[in-house]
Amino acid sequence: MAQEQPEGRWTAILTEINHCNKCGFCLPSCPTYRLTGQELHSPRGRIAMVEAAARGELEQWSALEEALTYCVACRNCETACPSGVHYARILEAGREFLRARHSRAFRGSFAAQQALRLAKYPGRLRGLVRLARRLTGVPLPGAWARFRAMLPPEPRPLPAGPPPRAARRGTLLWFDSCVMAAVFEEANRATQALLNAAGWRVVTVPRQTCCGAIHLHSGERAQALALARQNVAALEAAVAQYGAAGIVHNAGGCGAMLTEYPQVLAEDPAWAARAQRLAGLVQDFTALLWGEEGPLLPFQGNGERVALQNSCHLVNVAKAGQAPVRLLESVEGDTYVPYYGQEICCGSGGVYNLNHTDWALGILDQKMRAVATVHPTRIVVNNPGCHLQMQWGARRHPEVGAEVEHLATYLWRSYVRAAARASSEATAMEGTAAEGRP
Amino acid sequence: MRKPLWGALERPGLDIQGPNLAPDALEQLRQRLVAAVGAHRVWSDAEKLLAYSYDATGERHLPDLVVFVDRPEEIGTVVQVLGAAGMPIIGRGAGTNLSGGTMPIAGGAVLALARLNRVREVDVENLRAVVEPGVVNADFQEVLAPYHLFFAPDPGSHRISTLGGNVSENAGGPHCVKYGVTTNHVLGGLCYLVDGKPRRLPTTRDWRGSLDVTGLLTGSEGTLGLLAELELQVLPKPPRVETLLAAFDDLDRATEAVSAIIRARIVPSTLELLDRVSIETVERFAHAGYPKDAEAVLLIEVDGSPEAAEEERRRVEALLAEVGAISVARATTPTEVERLWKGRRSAYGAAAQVSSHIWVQDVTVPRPLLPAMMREVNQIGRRYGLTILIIAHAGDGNLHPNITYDPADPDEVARMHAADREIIEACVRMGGSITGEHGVGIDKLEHLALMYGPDELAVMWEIKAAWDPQNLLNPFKAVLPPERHHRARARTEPSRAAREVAERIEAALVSSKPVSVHGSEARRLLAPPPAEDAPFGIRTGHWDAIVEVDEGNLTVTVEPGVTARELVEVLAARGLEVPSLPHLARTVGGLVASNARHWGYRGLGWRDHVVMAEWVDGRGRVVRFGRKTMKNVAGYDVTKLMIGSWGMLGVLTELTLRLRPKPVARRVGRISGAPASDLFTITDGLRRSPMPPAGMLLHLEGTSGTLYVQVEGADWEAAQRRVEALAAERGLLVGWEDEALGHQLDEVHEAAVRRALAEGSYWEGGGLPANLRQYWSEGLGDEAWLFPFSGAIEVTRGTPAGAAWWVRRRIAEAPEWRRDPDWIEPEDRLFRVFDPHRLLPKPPAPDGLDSSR
Ligand SMILES: Cc1cc2nc3c(=O)[nH]c(=O)nc-3n(C[C@H](O)[C@H](O)[C@H](O)COP(=O)(O)OP(=O)(O)OC[C@H]3O[C@@H](n4cnc5c(N)ncnc54)[C@H](O)[C@@H]3O)c2cc1C
Ligand code: SF4
Ligand code: SF4
Repeated sequence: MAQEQPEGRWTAILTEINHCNKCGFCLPSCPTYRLTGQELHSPRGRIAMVEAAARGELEQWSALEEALTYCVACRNCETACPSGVHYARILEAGREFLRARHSRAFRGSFAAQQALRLAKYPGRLRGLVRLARRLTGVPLPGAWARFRAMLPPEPRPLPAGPPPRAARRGTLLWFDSCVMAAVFEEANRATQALLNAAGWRVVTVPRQTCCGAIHLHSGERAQALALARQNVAALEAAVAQYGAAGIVHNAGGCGAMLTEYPQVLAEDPAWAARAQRLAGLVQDFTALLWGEEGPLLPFQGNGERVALQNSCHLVNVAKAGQAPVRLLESVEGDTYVPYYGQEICCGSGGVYNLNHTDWALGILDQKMRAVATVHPTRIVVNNPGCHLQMQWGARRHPEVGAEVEHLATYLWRSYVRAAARASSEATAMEGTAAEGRP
Repeated sequence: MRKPLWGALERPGLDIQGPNLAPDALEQLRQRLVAAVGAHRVWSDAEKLLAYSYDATGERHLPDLVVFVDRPEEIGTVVQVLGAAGMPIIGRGAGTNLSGGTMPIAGGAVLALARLNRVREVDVENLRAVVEPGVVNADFQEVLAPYHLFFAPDPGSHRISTLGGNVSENAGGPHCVKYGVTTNHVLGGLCYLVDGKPRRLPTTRDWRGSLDVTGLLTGSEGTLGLLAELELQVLPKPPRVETLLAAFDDLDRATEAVSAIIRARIVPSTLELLDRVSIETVERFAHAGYPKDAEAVLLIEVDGSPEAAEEERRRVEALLAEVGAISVARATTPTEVERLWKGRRSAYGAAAQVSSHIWVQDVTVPRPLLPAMMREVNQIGRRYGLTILIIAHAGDGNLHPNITYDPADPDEVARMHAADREIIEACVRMGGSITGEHGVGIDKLEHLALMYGPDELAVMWEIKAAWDPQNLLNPFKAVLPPERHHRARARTEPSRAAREVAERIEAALVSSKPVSVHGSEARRLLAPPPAEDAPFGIRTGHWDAIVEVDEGNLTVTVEPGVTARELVEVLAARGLEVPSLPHLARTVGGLVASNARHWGYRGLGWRDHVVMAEWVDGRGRVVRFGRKTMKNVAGYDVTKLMIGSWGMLGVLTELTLRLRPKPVARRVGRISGAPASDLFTITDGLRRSPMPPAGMLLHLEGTSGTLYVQVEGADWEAAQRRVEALAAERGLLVGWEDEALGHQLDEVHEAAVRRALAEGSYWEGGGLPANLRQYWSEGLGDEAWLFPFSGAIEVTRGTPAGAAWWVRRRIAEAPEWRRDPDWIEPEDRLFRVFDPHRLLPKPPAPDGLDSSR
């Protein structure tokens, strides 16, 4: 007999669970299994716990709760799974089951709840960040104090580039990540500048809001749905107005959420269909900087060793993790250094690091040890959550000696360098040509 | 009674009740464990335990406890606490085994070892590494990569399975066809038997003094002991690997290509086969670029020096064309190699996408029977209306027919089981093994009786009972008490020699007279003497037939009295050889029984070559362990115990040995009359070379000596140049001759040993290869023979000064054996299994007393 089920979903979930043959291939991909070495904190174990619930084998929920609480939801296990198990569905079903039983596990810490609230108001978030930066010596409110180390230093001004070329490739709609807008404004500017340089016209979507990913993963489903609907409407209107060739973003997590709106809104077929039409347009900026014959822009490095912390959701959900790698490999004069364990999550997980700080730091320390093996001078990121987290990692591990930077600003500086070199070479050429003239 | 979990299968012979400690007794036990390792490392919450109820086999059974081990030495304490409470102990690595090996079928405590994941040492000098058992295979490879070393066993699960699990299952992998299975790479380590005492595993190198209990523990699925540390052999990465994918429009043609490659004396480093259904599935999900219209593909790799690998690849390509492959793709970039491998690696998962469940079968047949076995499987699949995907380690005759089924459809489940049984029966009929690499676990217990007769089943169970009398270590896995075997029992025909020996042993039993075994008598003076004078002598010399040379399988089956010289010559005429055979009048039975080393082979000696052995034990039982197959993990690897057992466990009556193609070229180099210290520098350099020579022997007389080096195979010239370069650095010259020089050396060496034994001035033993120089500087008598690959030492004149290294010697009237004090008791228990009446000789103690009394 199956346990009393939330919204009659157990049958579907058991079919999904049946595809898990417990091969264990997902174990090494899972940050919490790597951290604990415990099955309960592995994808296979989490699936087994949800299975037990679905089969009516559980009498209390504490073990299920423990298992599902510490999942970062990075979904790396889905990529690793040879059987194509949709882990996220199983996780969601389990979490909902617990919520229906008034589990408090997914309420989130004070800091996380604050963060969720702030996420909807980028302006306030930005204000808070400025304040925190300025008042480094001043104690922050208790719950926030620990997290100061996440904040990046004052942004370095972006160098000016050559004037953008004509927008001959079409129009892109810019979807802004709330955290990006607040903390990493310069990365946003760099992204748009790169796209312009590559010949795209970029228009910011009016009336957009937070994508809702962190709300969804924190169990604030209603909130998440409301945000999703608002964005779908805003994006539809913008597409109608500008006839966009794509919806572009530079935050892997937010982008992945946009592509998942059809599933998120599945219970509302009309909205789901609207979301579906938009999902196909969503692209990470890196994909739009790559043409048929290679990168659309030249990139010139500076003798650095560059490691990548790819956005988990860009890789595992949007399945678009290759473009950043290709771009990094195309930077002349820098060395892209892949490393063992690169695909593992950094422990940011939306507000995971606010809710389960000790676990997140454990995962982060592992990450820093892994990346240290290739001695990078720079670690580039492409998601704001990861950016904050890796920043924290760099502070905790000064021995690694690497700077953390958004992929977009890194690429922009490389592009400006390449452009400068090209023009000085051109001048030199002209000079030679002039001398040669009779 | 414990509540059964959904999906538990009916298992004949396994209707067992767990220990079911009363709640307060369980609580007391929990508290004792908490005192030992701390509260957060002991789980007893019934619902949390669900996370340790399964492995990759898919069924679920609840344990009573889970204990997490963070330091190897904690295993001992935990085992003692659990043992005292009579609680079963189930070691667990990553839980990826496919036979139910970690399922707590009878409840018990799961010992989670995955957190023991430190690589302790990478010893480049001695080509070995010391690791904790929870290190993941792929992580280990990653640690080795910067040293240009690798660990040869690479099961399909290498990304997640632990080295402890690999050793405990004796795992195989795509590279076994060239490099052998896990047991061929285990050097030693640390283990805990059920008494919870730490014991250093005896080395598996060719100078060991004990029974090969390390070989017995390997593949014993955690039922005999828990491995707390492993010492593993690592190998230099071959400089070049060539990867090909050949497609065929006919399955038989693909298997024919496999046979053609083996017959052509090519030893590929990978030879994997996927059938049509597998290709379709793989292509649907993994897009590896396998030709969709093919009936079968072969993934083939050859490795070696760049020239040799290319040459081999060209030969393989020619053979493939001859057999009629429809296409052959060659990977030229790492990305292409990765893509071709992706198809093979994702085969299992792709199957899982087709159907919710797959039943993974793992049978091995003699290589020439692979085509017949594949046809049989397909017929069975058709008969039962089931989809079966075949993936095969074709080069080893090991195939995985994967049956897709729906667990919710009882009729399909029944058909699946019937088909499964028919596949196993067919494999046994063909002389195969019911499991090549996945182990028995609980899944194959019921099938063991198809393969083994009552005596073999009894021997395996007695070994288990000898070391674990309360059946606490992973109970009801791998072996069963004989009375639990319900099915009809197999009986293999005893050989001619076995029948005769059995008669004599029975007569000896009646008269309670001890028995002694006599081969060529070469090392008689070192052998343990019989218990009395005038024993019942059994001479093996007249059982001297070569029973079968199976060229397609690359095996030879011989009676024990065949001389090495005869076998070498018979095989050479067919372009084949057994690597450890000296060109001498000694009997093969005697060489195996005394684990005689040969300098021309750099592996682990006879344990690498014997795939099957038949013997008569001290109870007159004729038993046969192993099969004429390259891989076999059905039950315990009892054969290992017989190698180097010096007649103490029984009389060998038939042996099947693995062959290899005789290398195309073989040269023996000699650096004579050189200072010993220079020669050590050369041997150390050669050992670490990416293209090491095939063998080395250092003959020292005082401070100078002669180094013999054997180079062979396609890479012989590169190896020869390397020897010359190293010699030149020390200002030395190398004289090269053909194989005859090696034969001469065998004779000189043999004569020296015989003389030393007769005169009573013989020592043998060994240590880490890189320490040979130190042993020498401490003094190795007037004449010594050193084996720079294995670290073995023989002193044949004078008196060595250092005493740490010897394990056997004859300096007075009687041979003296040094036994490892830790292993005396466990070994004596094994002696009692095979020879309870003490008819056979037993190890002589250093002072000439029988220490086992
Ligand atoms: C997709 C897939 C592919 C596979 N491919 C292969 C393959 O190519 N070749 C192959 O041989 N196998 C293969 N396997 C089977 C499996 O991965 C191997 O048997 C592996 O060696 C098991 O390692 P583990 O760490 O998971 O051990 P576990 O499953 O945890 O344990 C295996 C057995 O060893 C015992 N054990 C574990 N650690 C210790 C220890 N330290 N001391 C004593 N006993 C211990 C356990 O009690 C159990 O009996 C495959 C499995 C899967 C799921
Ligand atoms: S990899 Fe997939 S099938 Fe295997 S255990 Fe994990 S989720 Fe299950
Ligand atoms: S989503 Fe990430 S943390 Fe959660 S189970 Fe999968 S791999 Fe582990």
